[in-house]
Amino acid sequence: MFSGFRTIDNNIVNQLNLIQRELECAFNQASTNTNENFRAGNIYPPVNISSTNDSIDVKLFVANLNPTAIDVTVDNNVLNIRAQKESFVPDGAKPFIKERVDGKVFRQVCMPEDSDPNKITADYKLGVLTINIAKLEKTQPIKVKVH
Amino acid sequence: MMEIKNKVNETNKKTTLTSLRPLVDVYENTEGVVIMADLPGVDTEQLEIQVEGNVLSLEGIAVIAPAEGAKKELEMTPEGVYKRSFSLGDGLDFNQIDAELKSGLLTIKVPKKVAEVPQKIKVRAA
Repeated sequence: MFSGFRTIDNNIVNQLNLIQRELECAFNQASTNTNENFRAGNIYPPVNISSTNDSIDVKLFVANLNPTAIDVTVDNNVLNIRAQKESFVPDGAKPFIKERVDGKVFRQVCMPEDSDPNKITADYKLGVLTINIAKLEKTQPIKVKVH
Repeated sequence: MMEIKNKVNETNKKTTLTSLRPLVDVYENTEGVVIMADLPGVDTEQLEIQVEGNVLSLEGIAVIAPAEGAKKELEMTPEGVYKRSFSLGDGLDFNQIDAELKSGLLTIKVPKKVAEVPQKIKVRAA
């Protein structure tokens, strides 16, 4: 979950909805950290997030993924990324240094409320998984004439 | 001249970028030493492997900058240079190094010198 990535809304109901959603995300993430993500100290894989007026880019830095084993889903405005890192040990090899993380990779990202879960693309290149999420078109405020 | 200018620009870029330490595995088997390094975001064009004496060094620029004009919301991996050096033992043939970069994983194989590889001697039945 990342903070500082929310729209400002003066409507109290929307604010409460936003807090509720973020709490749900926090609890959801806390519960998942105890399994697949825990052994990597909760910092692997590293993620970069950037945004423009039109879309959000989520970049995951994980080398040697099998592209057919990458699973990206959206559930309740939470982006779930699951993947499998292929492991390879040379025949009859004795390890001197073992730092790389193999096996299951799991990461969750809470999407901002103006993201469009129906317009998501994913691309894996050079060990970087880039997920692009389009933003919903902003509704224009309607001006009501007072007679 | 242009080539020298490009080289200088590349060197200047490397010195201004953040230094990143890649995660590695190092194995040894009867054939030699295998080094595996996670270098997500690095292209073969941006990767340099050098051997000096028995020290093998690798440097690779991770091209991961967000789109122009994009706002950085979270940055756990900055645009930087992956750097790592390994002091390898004697008995390796540094002229026969094989390196492959695939999906951000660099695999370097340094074979043992022929004399160092255990030779199996066949015994003929008399």
